[in-house]
Amino acid sequence: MSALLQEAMAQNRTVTGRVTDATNNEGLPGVTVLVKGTQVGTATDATGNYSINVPETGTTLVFSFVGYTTTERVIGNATTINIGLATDAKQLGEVVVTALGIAREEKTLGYAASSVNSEELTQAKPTNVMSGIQGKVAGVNISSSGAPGASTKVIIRGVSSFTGGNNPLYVVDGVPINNINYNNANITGGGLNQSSRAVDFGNQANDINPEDVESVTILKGASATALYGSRAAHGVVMITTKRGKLNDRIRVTYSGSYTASKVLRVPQTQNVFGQGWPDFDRLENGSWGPKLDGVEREWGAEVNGEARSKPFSYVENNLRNFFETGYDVQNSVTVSGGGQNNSFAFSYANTTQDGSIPTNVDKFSRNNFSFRGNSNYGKFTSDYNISYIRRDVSAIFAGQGTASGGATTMQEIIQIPVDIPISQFKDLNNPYNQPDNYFTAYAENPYSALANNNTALQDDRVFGKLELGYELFKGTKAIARAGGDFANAFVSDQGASIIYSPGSYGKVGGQTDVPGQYGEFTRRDQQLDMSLLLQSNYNVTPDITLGGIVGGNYNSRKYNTVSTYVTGLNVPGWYSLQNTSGVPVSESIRNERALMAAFGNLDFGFKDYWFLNLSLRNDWSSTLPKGNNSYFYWGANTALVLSDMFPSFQTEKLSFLKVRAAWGKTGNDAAPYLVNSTFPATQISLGFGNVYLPVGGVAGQTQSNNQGNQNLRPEITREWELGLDTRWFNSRVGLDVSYYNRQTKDQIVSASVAPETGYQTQTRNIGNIANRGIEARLSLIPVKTDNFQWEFATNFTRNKSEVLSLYGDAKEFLLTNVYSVDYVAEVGKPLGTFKVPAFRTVPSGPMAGKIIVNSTTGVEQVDPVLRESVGTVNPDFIMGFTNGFTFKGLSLNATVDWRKGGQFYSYTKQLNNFVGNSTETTYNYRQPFVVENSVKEIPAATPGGEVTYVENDVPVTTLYNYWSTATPARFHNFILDRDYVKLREVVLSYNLPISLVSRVKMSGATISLIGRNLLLFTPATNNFVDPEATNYGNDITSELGEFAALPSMRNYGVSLRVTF
Amino acid sequence: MKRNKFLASLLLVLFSFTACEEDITEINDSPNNLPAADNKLLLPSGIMWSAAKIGGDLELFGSLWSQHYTQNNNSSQYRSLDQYNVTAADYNAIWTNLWAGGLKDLKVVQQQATATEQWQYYVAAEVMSAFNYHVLNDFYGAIPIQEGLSLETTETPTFVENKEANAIIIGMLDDAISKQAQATTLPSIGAADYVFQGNIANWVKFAKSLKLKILMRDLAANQAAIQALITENDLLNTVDAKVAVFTDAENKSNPLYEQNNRKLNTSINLRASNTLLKYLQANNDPRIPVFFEPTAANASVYSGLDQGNFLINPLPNTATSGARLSATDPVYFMSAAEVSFLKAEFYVRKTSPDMMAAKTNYDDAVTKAFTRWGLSATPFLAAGGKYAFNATGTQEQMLEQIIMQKWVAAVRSQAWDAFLDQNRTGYPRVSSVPTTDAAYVPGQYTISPNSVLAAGQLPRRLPYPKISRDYNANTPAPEAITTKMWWHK
Repeated sequence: MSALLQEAMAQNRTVTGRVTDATNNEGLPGVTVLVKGTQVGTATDATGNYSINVPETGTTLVFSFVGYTTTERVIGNATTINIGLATDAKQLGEVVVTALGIAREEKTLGYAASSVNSEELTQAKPTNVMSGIQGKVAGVNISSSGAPGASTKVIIRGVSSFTGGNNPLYVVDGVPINNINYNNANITGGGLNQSSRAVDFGNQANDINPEDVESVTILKGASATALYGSRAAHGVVMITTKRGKLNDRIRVTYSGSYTASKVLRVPQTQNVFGQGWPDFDRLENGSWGPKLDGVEREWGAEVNGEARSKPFSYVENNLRNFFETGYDVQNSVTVSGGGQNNSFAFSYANTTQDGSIPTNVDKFSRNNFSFRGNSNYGKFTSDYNISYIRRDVSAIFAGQGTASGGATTMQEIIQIPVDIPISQFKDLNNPYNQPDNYFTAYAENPYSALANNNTALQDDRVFGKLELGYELFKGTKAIARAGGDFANAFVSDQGASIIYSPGSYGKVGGQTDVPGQYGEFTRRDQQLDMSLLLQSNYNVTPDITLGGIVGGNYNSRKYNTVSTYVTGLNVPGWYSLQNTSGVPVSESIRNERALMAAFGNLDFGFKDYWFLNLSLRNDWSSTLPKGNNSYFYWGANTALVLSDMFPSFQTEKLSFLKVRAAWGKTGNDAAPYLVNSTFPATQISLGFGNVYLPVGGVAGQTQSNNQGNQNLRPEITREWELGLDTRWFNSRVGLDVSYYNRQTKDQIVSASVAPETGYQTQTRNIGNIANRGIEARLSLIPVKTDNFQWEFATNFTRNKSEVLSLYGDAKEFLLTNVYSVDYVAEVGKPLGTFKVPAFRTVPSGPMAGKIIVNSTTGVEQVDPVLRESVGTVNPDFIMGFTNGFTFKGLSLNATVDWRKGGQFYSYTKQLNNFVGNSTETTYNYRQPFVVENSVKEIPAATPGGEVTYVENDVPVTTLYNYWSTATPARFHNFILDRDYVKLREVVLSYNLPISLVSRVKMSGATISLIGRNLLLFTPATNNFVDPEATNYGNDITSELGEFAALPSMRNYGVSLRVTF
Repeated sequence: MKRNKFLASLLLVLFSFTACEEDITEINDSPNNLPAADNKLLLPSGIMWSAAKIGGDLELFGSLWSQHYTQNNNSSQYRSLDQYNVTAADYNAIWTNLWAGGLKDLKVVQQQATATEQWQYYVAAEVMSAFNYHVLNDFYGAIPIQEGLSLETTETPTFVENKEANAIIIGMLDDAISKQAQATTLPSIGAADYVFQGNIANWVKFAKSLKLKILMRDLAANQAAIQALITENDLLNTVDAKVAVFTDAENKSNPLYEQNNRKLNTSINLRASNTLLKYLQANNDPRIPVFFEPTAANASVYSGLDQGNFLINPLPNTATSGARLSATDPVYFMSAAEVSFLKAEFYVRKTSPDMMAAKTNYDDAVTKAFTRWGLSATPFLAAGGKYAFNATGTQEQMLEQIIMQKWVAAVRSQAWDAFLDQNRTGYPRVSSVPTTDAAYVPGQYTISPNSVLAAGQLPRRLPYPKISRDYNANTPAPEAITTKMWWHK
């Protein structure tokens, strides 16, 4: 009886409970609750509650939900089981948004695709999406110079394009957006360049509000991106935005942060020698003077017969103290919800940053408004979004300044001797700090430069899309998608005029008047993108699935710029195009291109373990010659899930094993207007300054220095890759490895030709660049208990590039150069190597290889022709490490970035050497020394006789020349190792208990301490700059290095996220 | 039914995207730049490219290497030039801008003029081209004068040796001269001709004067031809071949002034060289204030630096004189004074010298060199005057006197030509003692104490630029910049 009763009771046993999200304790609707080993199951309701009848045999409940770790609970005698489910990053990645915005299960993919979810992305509150990915995915090199609003460089699987365009294509919800990098090359146009008046206003991909992003998927290989064709040759970043859910209540989320920003790295100065060159001189801008002795000395100008005086001693933290603590404030509100047929999400965000430069001349603010919606009426679906972004950036210039635009801040700070406190110059009303009396006539007051010589961008941008879908019949859908992206940027740019009083300290010292400059620049961009698709998915047999897409795309991009500037400002401080006696220089550029495509895609699946994908595309480009502008390419990839194919593989240890292979080819077109030769207006560069026609009222046209090419072909990239994805021990160990081999052929560049041919360059198809590499991601969950979890992941990227060929007999292609440093593509070497003037060495005999010095000065002689390779910009490898610890509501996450290998050019070092502030210049305590391993050349006694060599005994005495650019041999020293280890992010978060927050009608609240770029370690030789710092934009040229770039920043502060 | 619907949709999609493929390349004609240019716009461009480099970089080289100016000790811009440290990578823009800029535009002018029979443009462009070739030829030693400027036919033009190239240049000049009659009857080019404002007769005079200059490179072989030119005397006797359209406005000024004075962060780099200043002071030459600024410390004092001694320290900027340049300085290609100097030189050096004719032309040349600056040479040329012609000296002494005056006449105008003349004649002489030595003869070159060259050497040429060597396998092997050319002394 009792036994029967017991059985009956057991049969009728009902278990109830609530399933919540462990991170915020909010109820989870739709969670599957299953009695283990049976078919008995139910699902949680809208608030996360469930009730289940457990059969007699049932002992355990299994709770499972997409995106959360499947969790089991023993029932025992319990009648109520409440459970918090932990999110599972690995599982979230299982659905991947692929080309054309099509979501596919990750296991069906035959190529590597890396995803990052919103939580990982925003944990440290980066100001832009791509910065939030730094260190978190393999195969992608992300860096940023760090100034407020500056651009982010994203290079996928290595650079391969000589002339730029190495950034990926950004696609938001299936529609490509513009990613123009606003700098002075493409906004402010003519006459300005990166080494003199560089400014980086950021790239447009940075406009996206990170809080709007649901996930980011990076498609790397040619097979993955073939459907995007021409524009995806350097990979695709697919951004999916957050949407409202159908049948959901209105949810409001606020997220905000405040962080303080401090300068991360400033040049380390020597502390032994003070002002002078080489004797003490109150007028000098360098530290080539006598030993610092602490004795009170007068320095700089006399005003009313009186000079300032101070002890002749080293000023600690002089450079660091110049900078201030800036801030970064972010606020974001998202309101989302949905009814039966429509859902929506509206968000507003603002981001304001004031960098570490004193005053608010380096300021960035961005306001994002975004509306996103979905409608669903039976066979008809639609998806739409529109975003408006207003961006304001104020910036100061990097580089060394120009004659009319005046000085730049960093250039001037570096030229202050180590014994002079920089802060002394802050008060611009102090007569000693005014131009006439500034202590040196060879530089300007940096505070004056930052106050007067600056620039500002204002950009209004709207982008959005409308997508309509109609299910023609079951399994087949027609989709029409139109996207638009419109931006309107305005830049003003000012440089103060300086007139030195006759007879003043500055004038007598040799200062030239600065005429001053003011310019205004506008740029309008437009992109239209339209697609029509037919999409089908069928289960042909229970075992075979077949999907396909055919479609077409039309893409048009246009921009125009108008730039006008005047020099020679009549009235100081009035920045207007009217304020000149001269003639404004104006230039306008119109640029338009279009691309049309037809494409098809076929997906085949067999028994859910073998998948095959085939993509085909044909492009018609406006920028290639007529008759040669159509090109076809394709990609194929396959994935075999061995662990599903042979179920016996699946053991307690091995949970998943997949192998994949892909092959793809993509084409790329030219920039507009390269096919024909033209005759532009004559503008002659003099090296310093220009002669622009008209002169004397006579205008001129000159034949363009570039010869067009009527036989241009598209650039073709071919790539194959192999990969392995495996998970062990219930997915607590995961490893994903890819090997790829990519060759980019027939790049379209303006290739140099000898000028005696009448041209400097010719539009050509040149070269064959190989990029081969390994990407790996290892993820571990070393500890996992109910309350505590430790997650660790590391990713590894190794890309080896090689220039296989150029064109004709050319062995070298000059990418760009700075002073005597050439940045080149050389056959047989990685793309992007440095060449500097080579030392003359003894060609043969017992002294062979020794350096030949100048017999008078003892300085290494430089070969008049030969140049020497001194490194490459390419890293040996890049690794990222992420660590996550979760203890109940508390979590700690940290990301570390490690870059090994590669070099960069540092003008900051060059200038520090020049003025004797760098530590290197104290070599041998500034006593004369004989160059190691060197010889003197004894000329032949008779013409044609034998040249002999003897051991060098001539010491170098003029050290202030030796260490600077005055000796061309020194350019070796200005190429630094780029290695670094960066503590990229540290986030300590606490989820407030639901019991607490629910009292104030909140459904969740998280408070975090956040830090970004907290620590930087570099080799001892680089005690100058953050190796990521650059003022050369965000493409291949930026890999070159820096030219008095502004310092990068570290941020730390607090963030808050609440949900109602 | 289903299948039809599917196929119909498919076809619609495909058709709509392939139908307009035909015209898509039409938007690829640049709206920013024209596909062609009229001679009226190309000729001034060709002339200005030439003026920008010859009157800019080459004038700078010339004024330092001819020891008119030297690098200031408290700045560093031109140190490498003043220590003769010029490598293949330096100053490539001279080569680039003269070939791909000036010569290319002039060639298109000539081609278009031939097709449309605009002989006035043809003559101007051909003479201007010949002049550019002459300058390049004498600075570099060989030039691709025949196969150059034809990327369509060859990417690697072969170089023609200096002497042979001279013959080709003379052929061009003869061709231009032969078109005089046809060109004169056509409408004037007017202001688009920066050099002679459309005066064809002056272009012909320029052509003949340049011919004279080139023939003088080998006087012994060309004596009859030179005599014929001088006898005909259709030369630049009263008019200069110069570009005098510059104004004191940014981007519109004399190229050396624009880069050195307006655009460098300091304009104190070029200082008076003691070589020239001491010579002028020794002769009380009134051109000192025309060539130099007084010292900042004392407005009545002119003081120089020894050539290339830029490491002298401490010596304040206030103690030395800067070079005086003006935004409106013309760029000289050839001058009337130069022609008279050439004639004087010929009369001295010809097989049977004619001292009277030499004196007449010498006096004429020096007078022109003074009057250019509004000054009178009369007291200097009068008997017993500092520059009076030494008609009783040896041939070499007379030649030295002519070239010394030509050297001074070239200051602030044709310094680059003074460099060629020193190579050609050996004057001014190179001193074996420093300027401070009692035995120093004012005006003699001193060698930069910071020279990177072997002892006693001076630069004689420019190295073939890297930009050419990198892309043209036919560019000659590099020569040391001290290597003399066949016409050098």
